[in-house]
Amino acid sequence: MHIVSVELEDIKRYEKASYTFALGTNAISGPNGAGKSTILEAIGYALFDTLPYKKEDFLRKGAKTGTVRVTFESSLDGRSYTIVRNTRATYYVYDPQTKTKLAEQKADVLSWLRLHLGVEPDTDLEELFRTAIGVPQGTFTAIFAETAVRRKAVFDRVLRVEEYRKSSDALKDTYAHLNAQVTEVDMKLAGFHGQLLRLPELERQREQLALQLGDATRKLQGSKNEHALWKSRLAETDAMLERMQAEENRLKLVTAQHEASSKEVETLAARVEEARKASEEAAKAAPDHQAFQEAEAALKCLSEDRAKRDAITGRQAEAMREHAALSAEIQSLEAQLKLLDAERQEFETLSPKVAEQEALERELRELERQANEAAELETALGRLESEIATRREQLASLDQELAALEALRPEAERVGAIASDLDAATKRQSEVQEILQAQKEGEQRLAMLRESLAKDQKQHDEVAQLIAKKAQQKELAAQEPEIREKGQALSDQVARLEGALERDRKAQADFKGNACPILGVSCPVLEGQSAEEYFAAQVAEREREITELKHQRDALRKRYAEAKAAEREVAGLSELERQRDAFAASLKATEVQVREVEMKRQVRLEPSELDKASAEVKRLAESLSKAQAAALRLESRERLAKQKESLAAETASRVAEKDAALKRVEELAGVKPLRLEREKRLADLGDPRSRHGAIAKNLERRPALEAQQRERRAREEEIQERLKGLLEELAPYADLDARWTRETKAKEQAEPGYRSFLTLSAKAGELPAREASLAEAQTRLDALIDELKKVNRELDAARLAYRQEDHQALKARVEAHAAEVIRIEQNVLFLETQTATTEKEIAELRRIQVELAETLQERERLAGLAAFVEFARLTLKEAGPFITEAYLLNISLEADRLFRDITGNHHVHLRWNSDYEILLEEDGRERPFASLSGGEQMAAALSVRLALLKEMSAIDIAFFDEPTTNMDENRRQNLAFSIGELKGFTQLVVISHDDTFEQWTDHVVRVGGVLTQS
Amino acid sequence: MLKFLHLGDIHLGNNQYQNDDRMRDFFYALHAVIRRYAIAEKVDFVLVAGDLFDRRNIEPRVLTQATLIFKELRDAGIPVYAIEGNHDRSGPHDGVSWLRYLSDWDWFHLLEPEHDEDGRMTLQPWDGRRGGYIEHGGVRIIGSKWYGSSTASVIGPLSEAIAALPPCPAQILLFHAGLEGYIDSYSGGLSHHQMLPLKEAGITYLALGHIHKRYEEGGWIYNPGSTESCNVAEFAEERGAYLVEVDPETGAHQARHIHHSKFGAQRPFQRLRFDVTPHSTPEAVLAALDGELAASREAFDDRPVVELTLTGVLGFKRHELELPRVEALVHKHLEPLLARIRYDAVPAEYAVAPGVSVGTDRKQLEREIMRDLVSRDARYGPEAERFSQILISLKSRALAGDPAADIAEFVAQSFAQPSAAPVVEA
Repeated sequence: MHIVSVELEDIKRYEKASYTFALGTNAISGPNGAGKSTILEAIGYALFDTLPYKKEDFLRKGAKTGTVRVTFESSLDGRSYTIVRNTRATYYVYDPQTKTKLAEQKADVLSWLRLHLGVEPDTDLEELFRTAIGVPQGTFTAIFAETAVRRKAVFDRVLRVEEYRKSSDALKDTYAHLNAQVTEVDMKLAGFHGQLLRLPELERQREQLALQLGDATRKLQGSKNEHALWKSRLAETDAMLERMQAEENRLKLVTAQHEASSKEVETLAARVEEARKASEEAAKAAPDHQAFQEAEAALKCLSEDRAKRDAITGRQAEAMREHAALSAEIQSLEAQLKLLDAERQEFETLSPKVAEQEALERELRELERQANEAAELETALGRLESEIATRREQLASLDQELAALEALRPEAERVGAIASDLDAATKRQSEVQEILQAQKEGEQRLAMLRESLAKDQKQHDEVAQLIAKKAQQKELAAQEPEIREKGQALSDQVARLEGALERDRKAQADFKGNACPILGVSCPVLEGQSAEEYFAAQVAEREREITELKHQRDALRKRYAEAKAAEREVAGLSELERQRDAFAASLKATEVQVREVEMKRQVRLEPSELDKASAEVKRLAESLSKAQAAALRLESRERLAKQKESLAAETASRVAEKDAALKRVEELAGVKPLRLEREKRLADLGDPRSRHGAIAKNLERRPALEAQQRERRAREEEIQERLKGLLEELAPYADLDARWTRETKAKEQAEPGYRSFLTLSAKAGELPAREASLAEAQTRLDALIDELKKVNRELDAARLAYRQEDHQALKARVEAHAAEVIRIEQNVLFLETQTATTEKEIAELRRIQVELAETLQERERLAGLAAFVEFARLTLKEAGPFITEAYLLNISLEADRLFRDITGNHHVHLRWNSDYEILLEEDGRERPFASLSGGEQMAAALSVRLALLKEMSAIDIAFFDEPTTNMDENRRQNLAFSIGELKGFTQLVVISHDDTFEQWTDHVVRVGGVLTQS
Repeated sequence: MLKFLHLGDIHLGNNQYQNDDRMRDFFYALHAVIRRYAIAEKVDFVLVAGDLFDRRNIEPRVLTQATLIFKELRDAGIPVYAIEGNHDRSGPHDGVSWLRYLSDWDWFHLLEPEHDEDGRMTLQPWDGRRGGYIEHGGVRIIGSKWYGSSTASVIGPLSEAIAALPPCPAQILLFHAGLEGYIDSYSGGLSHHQMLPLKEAGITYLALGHIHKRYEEGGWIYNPGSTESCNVAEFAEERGAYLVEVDPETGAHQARHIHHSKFGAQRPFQRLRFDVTPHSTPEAVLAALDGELAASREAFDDRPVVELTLTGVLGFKRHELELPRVEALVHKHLEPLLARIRYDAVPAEYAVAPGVSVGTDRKQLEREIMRDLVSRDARYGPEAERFSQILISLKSRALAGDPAADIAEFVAQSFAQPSAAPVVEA
């Protein structure tokens, strides 16, 4: 797989940044602290669930959420996927091609990632990342230099060495679980066995019961038989009793039936009679009935005829109506035509009047126009007059102004002169100022000079004094060497004397009693004296001399000191003289300057001059400004003159307009009366034109009206024909009404008879039926009588047969037997129940036997499972070291190959042993990690880490975070070259702040040093 | 009736073993099948179900190879409809892939659906430059892209997009994906059941690619296999192309598989294994190998690719056996086009479980060692494979912290299964 791009939002330094990566070697370069490692951390965060610090520290300062988007090409299927994770809880896998989310929630995302990164499902992604992918700066080789214990701790976890032991331990529970199950089963088995002990006992019981049951059953059978016998006899007697009772009931029943039947017969006979009567009556009413029906039939025919006649009458009425309408129309048309004739005459008379009317109207229009014109002119006149008046006023004021302005002319013309005067005055003023200023400065300078003069003089005098003083000292100083010598001589003397004194004192001490310490005899020198005296005198003498000399020496020393001091003083003498001379020169110069200045002072100017000059300037300035103002105003004169001209022109034109208007108004004076007269005439005419027009229209209608008239007449004739025909049609129906009335009357008369016939014949019709019923009823009655007789006979017979006392005795007997039977039955039942219970128990036990067999099998099975689990446990434990070692071997071989690639040295072999120690073998010698050079260590550690990565995953990309830390140029180059030489990785990413890698890389990702920039 | 040729996994530009002759083999194979079964049979069109090229960035001569083939097809008036595969699709940084380039210049039609922001897919008709489907003589051919591990989740949207098209009785879908069950090492395949929505949406012929071995299923799913072997293992498998007749009115079709040997231009492969364990010195190994290779020579139509795997336990250091000398022996006796030597033998001090080869991944290591250990036990030895797999499953369950009862249940179930079908854990 390889990384395609990393996008960061609000992460650490980055507000929003996006980096793309290419295949091959990528270098992430930028200055320290630019955020290069952040990119690696982001990859760790998104793909490996690794964050080396708290979320808050990962966010950009001030941001609430940060988001990382890493797009990579999967090694599983070669497609690109984007992993999105933010610091809230969003975490999902996005397929940019199908634009769908493939996994959400951390657990799903991580298992999806494991699949696509090609690692095993239970791999600790974080550990893998930390150990093999995103190794932090500077710790690359660290782990390999640690103790075996530390190494084991780290790599055991990465390689999941412990998992075999762990799983083996975990399986203990399963083994225990299965064992527990086996124990349970054993307990069950024990239970079964216990239960099965009862079986023989139960079987014996069963046999016994069987015998007993046989006996009882036989007994029961016998008793039952006897009982049955007696019971049947009892039943017979019961039957007899029943029969008797039945017959008695039947008797009652039949008697009742007989009564009912008799009644029925009576009723039916009466009804038959009724019907007969009705039949007779009906015969009487028959003729009326006939008559009614005939009348009805006739009426029916008549009504049809009536309908037809009514139709004809209707048509007739309609035709007559039409005829009437037409007549009316024809009359009106004739009237209209007459009217039209009259109107024609009128028409002729109106024509000339119409012409007149039109002429008048034309005239009036013209007059109106003129009147309007006159009115307009009036208004115009008013306007013009007012305009003229205003303009004249304006002209007057303008004239005034112009006059005023003209007066200013002379002044204005003076501007130039004044200006030049002003310039001159100003110049003078400034000159005066300068001069005054110079004067002041001069005074100041003079004062200064005088001061310095005084100072210099003072200094000069001082120095002179000093020099005088020092001159005195000179003499003294000259004596110095002499004094020194003297002093030295004195000192020598003193020293000699002191030496002698010392000797004398010593001798004094040595000498004892006048004997010479050396020779031991008395000393010839000491004649006449004792040694003590001698030495004492010597010593005293010496001491006196010394003291004297010391005094001299001291005095001399004092003088010497003075002389020395004087010398020192004198030393500075020449310097002082020089100074004094300098001061004198300076004094001279200053005096010269002072004289100069004093000369200049002769010519003086008073300050009042300045005031004068200033006043002059001011005055001139004022008059200049006045003159300028006048000039300005004068300029406006031109403008005003022009204005006046135009105004005058305007006024003149308006005046002309006004005159013209006035003239016109006069001309139009006579319009109004004329207009009035014409209007009256028009009114008198009374608008003949409209009437004329209306008549014309009417006249146009004449032909149409005539046509209508013709048409109507024709129709009228036609209708008259029609009416004639209708009359003929009506003829046959002339007597219809009379017949109708006749028949109706006949019907009315026959109606009552008709009605009664109907009711009676109905009743009469029922006669046969009623007679039939009667006959039936009679038959039934007869039958009942017979039956009654029969029942009585049978009853008597039954009564004979039955005797009550015998019946009772039988009953008692039977009961006794029944009780006996029951008792025996109960016994049998009891025995049967017992037998059944015993059978059931036996069956149960048999079932338990079967279950026992099955349970044994089950126990076998469980035991087998437990055995297998135990076997598995042991095997896993055993396998662990084997597998790990084989795995380690693979990694070691791969690391070996990588190492040779990186270093380019094919004579050396790298081995990563089971202690996780790196050993290099060369020429038969094995060198431990600690003894390797820095470069070798780096290369070795690199090889092992990359080999690990390759073996454990399908992640064939490698990251190097600042791998050149603490390396010199040469080694850096070597490492860069080696990394470039690595085969078998689709993508390498090197983070470095130095640009060693840029020449070996295929693609550079630059990370800026500016905050929040990508 | 229409006739078409269905191919896939051509892998032009596969510079196998960095050998130019070998790379040309791929071109010759494609050329042969096109000549014999597209042009000679006068098919109406040709389908390429992905992986036309072996890689994303091809060399210019590979482009020439492709152009030559397509020119012949164009001259014969036979259009080609193709889709991308996982090998020749554009990458995240690339704008336009070579497939897109060839399609834009009218050498074939690259069919691709579109995806919108909701994850829905739409199929646009071919507009002369782009499109998700095209119709030829009443038959509709629909394309797709490579979806990798997202393939299962894409079936739904794809079926909906197909169902949204106007109805057509004969619809062919080109799809670069694999069905499970045909290759042991291929995880992520789909089941037939998972493909059914496509059939329900109206697909009558599913033209697959991606798996290099031929298979078909259900009477509507066809995978022709690759046109040349892309690795040594493939050589023994059945591969080739499908020549299909289809009725545009009904969608009924008759597919005839053409075995790759009929292409007439397949490079022979020879795989040999040699155990070094009996020989204690490099010279002894070489001498024995000499004899072995002399006896292994076979007669082929063309120079073969030979793969020799050295296995076993070495009695000396690994580097003492000089591989160039081994290779020289191979060349001497077998005269291959090229030889590949796999050096899997392990020095003695490293040999943990004999027979465990170097370079196997951890899973396989685990399996082999477990099997080894289990086979030593009298009770479980006879079915070592089965029991060792159960053991491995037990381990992962125990590590995952499954409760004891569940693990016990699992063991019980595994034992209850008949021996012939051991419980296989993922």
